[in-house]
Amino acid sequence: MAAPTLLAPALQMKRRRPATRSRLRDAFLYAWLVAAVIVVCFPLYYIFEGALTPTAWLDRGLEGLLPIHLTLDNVVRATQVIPLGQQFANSIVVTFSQTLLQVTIGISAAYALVFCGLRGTRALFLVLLSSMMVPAETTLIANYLTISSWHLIDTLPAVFLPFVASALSIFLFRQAFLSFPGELRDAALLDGAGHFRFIRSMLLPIARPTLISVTLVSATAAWNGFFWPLLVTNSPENRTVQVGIAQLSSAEAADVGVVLAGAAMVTLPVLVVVLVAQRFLAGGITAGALK
Amino acid sequence: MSTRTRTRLALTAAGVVALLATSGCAASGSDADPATASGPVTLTFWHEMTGPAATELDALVAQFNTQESGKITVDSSFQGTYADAQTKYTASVQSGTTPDVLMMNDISTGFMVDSKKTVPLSSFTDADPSFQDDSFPPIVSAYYADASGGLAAMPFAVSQPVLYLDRALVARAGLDADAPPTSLADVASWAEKIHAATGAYGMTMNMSDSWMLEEMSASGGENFCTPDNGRGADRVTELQLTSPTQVSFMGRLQQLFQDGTALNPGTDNASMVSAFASGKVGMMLTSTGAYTTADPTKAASKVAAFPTTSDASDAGVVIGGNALWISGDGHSAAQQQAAYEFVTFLHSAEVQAAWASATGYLASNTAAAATTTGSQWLSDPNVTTMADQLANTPASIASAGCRTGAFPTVRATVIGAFGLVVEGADVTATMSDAESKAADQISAYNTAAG
Repeated sequence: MAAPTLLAPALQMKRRRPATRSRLRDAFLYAWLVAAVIVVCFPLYYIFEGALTPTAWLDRGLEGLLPIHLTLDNVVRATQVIPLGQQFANSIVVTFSQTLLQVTIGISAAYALVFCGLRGTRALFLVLLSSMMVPAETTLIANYLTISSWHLIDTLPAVFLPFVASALSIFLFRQAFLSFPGELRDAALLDGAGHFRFIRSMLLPIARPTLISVTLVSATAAWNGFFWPLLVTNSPENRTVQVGIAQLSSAEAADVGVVLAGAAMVTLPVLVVVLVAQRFLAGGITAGALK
Repeated sequence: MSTRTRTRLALTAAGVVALLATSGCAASGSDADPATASGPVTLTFWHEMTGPAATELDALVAQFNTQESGKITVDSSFQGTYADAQTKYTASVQSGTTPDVLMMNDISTGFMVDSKKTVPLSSFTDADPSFQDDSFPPIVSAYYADASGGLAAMPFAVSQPVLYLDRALVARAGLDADAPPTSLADVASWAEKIHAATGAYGMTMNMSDSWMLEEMSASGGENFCTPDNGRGADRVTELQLTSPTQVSFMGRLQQLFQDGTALNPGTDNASMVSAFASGKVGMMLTSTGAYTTADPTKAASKVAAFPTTSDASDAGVVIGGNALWISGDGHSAAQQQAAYEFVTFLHSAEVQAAWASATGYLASNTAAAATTTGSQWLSDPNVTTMADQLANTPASIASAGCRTGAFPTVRATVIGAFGLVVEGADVTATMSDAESKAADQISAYNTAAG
């Protein structure tokens, strides 16, 4: 009888220790996760709360951070300064066109490099890659002159045309296509599939993670573009929303509420796209991971 | 030299080369035919105004268009920062799409003169007997003077640095805001007293570029650039950053930043002004343009003249702001004349009074004070202090400020070095190093500009 009595506390301790350690670990983990969520979400909260709070309240420290004086006044005033609706639509057109063309051209070029067996593709690929090393600033004036000679200054095509081909997109698609077995393609072609059918039905489903990644990167870059759209457009109605909101802020006399209203309107679409695409992105990465 | 600085310098140099190389081959930037323009003239106008100033400028352009209905229409558009506009202007020269009227900031004056693509304003004013040559404060005409003594461009938005004092914090330190410090040494001493008595920062200053250091040199009667601030026959070749006066005031500032008396706002002017407006800083050295944000009530602060760093007779305060340039090559005589009428409208006393009262810039037309709007604007004693400072600044070479096309690039070098000084680096060695780097940058620009 004595042994179990003596052993019991020790056994209990043995059982309790891992449980306590585990609980502590969980507590730290959750505390860290909560802190991370606050760090990530606070700027977003500040943008959206600030967009709906008068500037006078935003200047009052902690009180300005609480959503107690909500109004649409900042948004209304922002739309009075610049044609935000039109510029928003322009941004959508530019982003959609640039992304669609960049992905289409990326897939086509990578397909040609990998499957068409052309001579000199390796050298061509190296030339393509080397274009990634050229700083954007050095091509700026040359691109401007080209667009100007085509009489496209102050038009929407001028904003996205120089970016419809991207060496990075071609590189990423090429790397994804290289892992596709050549025999499968031969079999598909023997079965009567054409190039487009093969790309659509066999290649792209396998390269889905790359497709989604390139689309997201391309769309985000197109949406966030500032300097080039500023350079090639003049009329407020032909400008993108990023250029438009730049006029809302000033170095020494910023109306913080109006600036945040503009920032919120620019951030919202990207936020929605990332939240929606995240599911596909995660699904795409894990697709085919198990054999 | 950082990659970014190198890239910017390379772009500037390439821009100058391109501008000079393409002189005379540019086409018209406007729709109207130079030779047959008999109908209404449409002018393209590029500007860089943001926030409330952009709203006011749009209203003024609309007013001009209504006034000149059927004759002149100004099509104005925002072009980003001044640096963005400079890049776009360089590209537009090569493609023959320059605007009829271009707004450029003070420090781009050298670049614009070197571009040789604009018509000096004096070539229009000389032929216009109604134009009042003496309608500008002396320091304003001195700043934008061309080689012949006339104006190179129409000064539009004019600012100057001033000293802002928080009345409440100053009073808590036992000091009298209505008897403000007049020298930098006094400002430093007040800053220490305010910090000791209240725990708030004693002072802060605009550090987004080297403007304040240039002002401190000018307020001691010293040239920032040699020879002669670029105002003589020869081009600027070097900066002057290590004179005993300069080393002394930078050393004093270093002490204030090192012991926590002064707030270093980095490059964020808006945060600096916000810190002052919320009572966290006793004194602030920055532009007159910050007034409405720094003190929305117009009663919490006292605005005082910019402090001096020595009692030299030619000491003064360099202006900031911008001017309007009229394009030459590729623009018809009718377009140029219409552009002149537009810039003259923006210089008129009524417009300058409205512009100053809406934005915080100072009126560049001395007659603005006599208008109804101008007298209302001047009823605020703080505004009167600012206007008096502008009117009374002697037009010396020191107060006219440095003029070199390399200035936008050089400013980054100077403020980078001053940032190191604030962190505790040796003043003389650091600024001497900056002098040497700046000389290389200026030399590269001068070579490119020919």
